[in-house]
Amino acid sequence: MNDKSRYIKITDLPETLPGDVDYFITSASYENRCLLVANEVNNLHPKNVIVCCNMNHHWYNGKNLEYLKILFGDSFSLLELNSKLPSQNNDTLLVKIISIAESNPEHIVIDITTFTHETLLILFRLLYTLLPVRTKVSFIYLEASDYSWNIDNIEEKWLSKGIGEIRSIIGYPGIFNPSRNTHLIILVGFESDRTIKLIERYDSTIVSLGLGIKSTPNPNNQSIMDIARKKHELLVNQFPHVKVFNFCLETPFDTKESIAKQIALYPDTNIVIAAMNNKISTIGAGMLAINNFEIQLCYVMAYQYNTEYYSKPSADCCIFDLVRSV
Amino acid sequence: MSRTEAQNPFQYQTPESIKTDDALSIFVDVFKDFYHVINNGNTFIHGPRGSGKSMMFRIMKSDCQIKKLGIGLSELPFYAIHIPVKDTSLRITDIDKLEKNYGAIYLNEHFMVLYFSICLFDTLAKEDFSRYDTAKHEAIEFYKNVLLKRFKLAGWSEYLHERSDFTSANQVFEEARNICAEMQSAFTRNFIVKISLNPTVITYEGPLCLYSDFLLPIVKEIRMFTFIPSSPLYFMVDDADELNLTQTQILNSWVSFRSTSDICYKVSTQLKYKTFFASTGSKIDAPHDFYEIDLTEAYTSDHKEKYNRNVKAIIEKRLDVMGGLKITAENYFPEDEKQAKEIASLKSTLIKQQKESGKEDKAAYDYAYRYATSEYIKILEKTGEGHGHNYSYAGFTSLVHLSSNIIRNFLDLASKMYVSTYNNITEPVEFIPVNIQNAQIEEYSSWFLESNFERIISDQRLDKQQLTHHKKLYNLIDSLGQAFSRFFKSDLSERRMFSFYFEDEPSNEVECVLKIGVSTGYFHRSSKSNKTGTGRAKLYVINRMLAPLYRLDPVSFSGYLFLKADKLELAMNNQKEFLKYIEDRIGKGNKEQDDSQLKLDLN
Repeated sequence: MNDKSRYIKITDLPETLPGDVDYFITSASYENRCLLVANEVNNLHPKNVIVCCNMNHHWYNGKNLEYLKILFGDSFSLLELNSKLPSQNNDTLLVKIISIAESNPEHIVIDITTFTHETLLILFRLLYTLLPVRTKVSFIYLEASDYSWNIDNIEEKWLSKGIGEIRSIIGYPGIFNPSRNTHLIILVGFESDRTIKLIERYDSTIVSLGLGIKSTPNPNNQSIMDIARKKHELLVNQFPHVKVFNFCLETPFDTKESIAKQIALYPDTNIVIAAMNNKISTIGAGMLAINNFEIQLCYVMAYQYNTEYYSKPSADCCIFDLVRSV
Repeated sequence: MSRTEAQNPFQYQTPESIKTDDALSIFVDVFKDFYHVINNGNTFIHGPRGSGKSMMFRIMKSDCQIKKLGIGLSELPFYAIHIPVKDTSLRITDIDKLEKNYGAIYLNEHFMVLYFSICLFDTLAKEDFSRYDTAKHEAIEFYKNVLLKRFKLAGWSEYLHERSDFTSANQVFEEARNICAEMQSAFTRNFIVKISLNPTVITYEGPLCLYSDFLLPIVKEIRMFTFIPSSPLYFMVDDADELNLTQTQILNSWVSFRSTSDICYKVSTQLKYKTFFASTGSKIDAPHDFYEIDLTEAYTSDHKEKYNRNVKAIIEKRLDVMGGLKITAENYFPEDEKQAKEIASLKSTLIKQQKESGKEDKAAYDYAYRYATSEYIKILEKTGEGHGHNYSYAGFTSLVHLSSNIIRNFLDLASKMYVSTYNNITEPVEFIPVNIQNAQIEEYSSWFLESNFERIISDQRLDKQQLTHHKKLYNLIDSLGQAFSRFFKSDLSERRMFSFYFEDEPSNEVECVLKIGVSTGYFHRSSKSNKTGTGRAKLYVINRMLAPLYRLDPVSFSGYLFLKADKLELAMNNQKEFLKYIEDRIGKGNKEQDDSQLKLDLN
């Protein structure tokens, strides 16, 4: 594990985070994981709490949103988003981050666990670009102990079904030179169906499937790792032409390096990255793309999400700080 | 061919990556069915993913045309430029912020013109001009007198470094391509990435390349080259659905230019093309502005035989070239002989029964043809493993029908069958056994529906407000599948159905669900004459890949289920009530059926 990120028990979070919290930013989701970090951070009495919520899915986010509203009381504020309107989401987040930046905060804490990959990357870029350099930003990610937890059979577990729109993530447009081949890089997660359809939709000549790995074995989520490995194997068998590589799931800095190495193997290509594993690795993809505008990050919407049995929280969370290159 | 030498003859390859000889060896000439694609004029080609559009475009490229026709570049009947529009190549989310703002059209057009120009110059850069002594001179003159001028007029003079060291025409076109790529990069770096960092729209002060004063004049000059065909250039815009709304309108404007003496647009879509309105506000129409082809509709009804014939030719070619097998498609994908004999025997019995009841020969044979399969499945349900589970869909003819006019469906399924067979034997694969065909068909049919949807518990009361359009689509497909299954196992005179139609105006929601169904390949849209014969009604044919799921016969459907629009709503929202309605209707002899529409299909 990189010394820029560390794993702690969720209950140790209040003691681990340094000093006061000027802003706590989180996402209200159907996953109960969105409540646990909030519960711990609440012990630090953050001055301002911003809860992002996709209001077009209010009927299944609403319960946890209400919980967070009650939990944080007067410091709570809602940032209404819509998963179908990324441009609007960018503008909403942009205005908020500009206003935060103007207040010259010292410390911002962000629970990245249950943001969508797209919103997280939009938020990451705005924080990276607009916040004063002296502002410390702590990212927290709460691990899951199981996914699709009502089903035991690995091959039947599902987090989402079908593939809807594929779109580039705002702020990471990339460059598509049609005279070049396209190198599609997928940080593979659980969702084989979405991965398969992404490969078929792009029809790229070069496809790299990343397998997420952890350097520190953790018995609490070993079953998840086994599931992911199995799904990765099935994909490679189905698409014998794909290239494979490993990427780190514990620190975004290593994820960034792994992807960069894979890109370097096939120079002079249009690069599209789909981050479909955990949010730590998604931030890693963002770190790489933010300083390489020719890289496009794309987001794959699903038709359906397993809102009822998506995940069970673990007791472990990862903390790392925003590091900006000069 | 030995086991290790033989390749999977059905393995999918991206058309763009297929080499010239390979492309020609596996391609079956479909252009005689779709001659408007290769003839002069603008053409829109609609069809779901896998219906062969990109493969057609591949064959139209100059390398294949030169080899196929055995003539030189300048003698070709057309010069085609492939312009692939991938999901996120032009439809960049950042640009959406420009929508409805001043300059949105110009900036999108600039973005598109650069993209199209890169494709144009890249294609030229890769040509073989060795036969043409004047090519280098002509290209350099073009560079000095046309290209540089156009770049300067567009506002790119600051970065231009005039070259004089070209050693070939190819280098000139490479330089042109690279300049366009630099402009594209600058546009992204200096403008696009900044859009999302400003709450208001930012001003653009960079170069601007537009169709009328950059791309079109350049194309006119390129057509003057002696080494390029004198006919119009074909811009093959592949998957134009992936353009955003403004870009679609811009493309329509280009089509409406009627500059088909210089550029003909061959535009492929997956039935999700956003609009036929141009950025000028006017609308482009068929046949005035373009010719329109729907690949699936072209192969339905009376033209089924063309598709069957083409699939057979494609399969046999692939088996020969890639598998080293000289074998008919029917022998490679044999049907279940036992089942075929039993159905034949049942037909004889039915013919005899009909004749004994006083029917003429023709009527008796017609009866047997229409009802033998459904009667057979009914027998299997009573005497087999239950629910017709051991009805076999194996056999080339059945597979062709299951593929629902989409060649890629056939190839995908055949590829899985090949891999399964290969893994089960130690010899080279010389045919696909019936049991493997059946197993793969069952799996594929189930995956085809389930991969996009979570199975809804059939007796669950569905909450309208909570359902997404996609869940409603699933409900609709499942409701119709079960309805058709009930008809098929009934004693009605018309029981073979795989399509439905309606005449009244559906709600916006029904329209939306049907549109998603068409774009995802679950339905094919067509039309038929309405009840009064005064117009056309909308007809939707269910993808035949679903036949095994509902124990239907995928071959030769002749009936259409007439439904009022409110019954479609019922099918989407309350399956139980819908099926009750269907059962009532079957009980009443299908009284709401349109009696004027039946067409006898004697395949």
